[in-house]
Amino acid sequence: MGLTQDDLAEKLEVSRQTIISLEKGRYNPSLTLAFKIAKLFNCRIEDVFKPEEE
Amino acid sequence: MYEGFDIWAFLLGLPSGLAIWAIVWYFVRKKGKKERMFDERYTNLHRHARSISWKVMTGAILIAWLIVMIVEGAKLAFFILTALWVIHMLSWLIGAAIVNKHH
Amino acid sequence: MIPSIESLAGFITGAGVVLLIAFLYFKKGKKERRFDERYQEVHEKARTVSWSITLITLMLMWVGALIFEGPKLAYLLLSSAYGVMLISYGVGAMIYNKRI
Repeated sequence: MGLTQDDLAEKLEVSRQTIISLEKGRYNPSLTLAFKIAKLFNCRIEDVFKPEEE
Repeated sequence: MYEGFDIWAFLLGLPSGLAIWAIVWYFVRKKGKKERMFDERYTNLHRHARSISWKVMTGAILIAWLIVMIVEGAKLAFFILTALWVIHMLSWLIGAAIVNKHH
Repeated sequence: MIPSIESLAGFITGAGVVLLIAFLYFKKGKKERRFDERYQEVHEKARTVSWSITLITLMLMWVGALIFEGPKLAYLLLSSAYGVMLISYGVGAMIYNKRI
């Protein structure tokens, strides 16, 4: 989609630091934010986030 | 009352301290809002940090309490620490009860 | 003042009783899966609220001790407690900022 981290942060109403953290897989987003991300990319949450392996 | 305490100097220092604090706070807030700094990750992070700090404080009060008991006995410092401990614990319990109902 | 043996003994007995109750509570709670993510969130929020209240109380007591008694033990202890609170908060925020 050619989005910069700043664009994405603005669309999701979060800071750029949160986007960086999400990309690195360090931050566990709330369900609300996860749904927002899935909606923005027109996909399901499972397509964006993988469950943590036990 | 403590003899060497200059109440006028104190009353002069207090508003200047508060004013500087308020100005810094205003600008950080303004800049942060522009960058959407106060999002859910920020809230989570600072909640975690305060939670840790609360635990450290619990230990610190207990240690200070022990020191006071040995050094000074039951005087002002002891009663202040006792009150602090009670407030520290009560606010946690009441907070937990309230949040428990809302969640 | 010479430390009173009675008060120290009382302190240790009290701590022992609390530890015993806490141990039993955690043992039973673990069996019932009481400490799940909702529990953790509830208590994290509660501690956050309590942290703020303790900080405000500390500031008031600090000013009170300074006016009432001057820079003596109570004032020094409250100052260091204030320092401990803010430093532990700052360090905690820094560590979590790197982790999440």
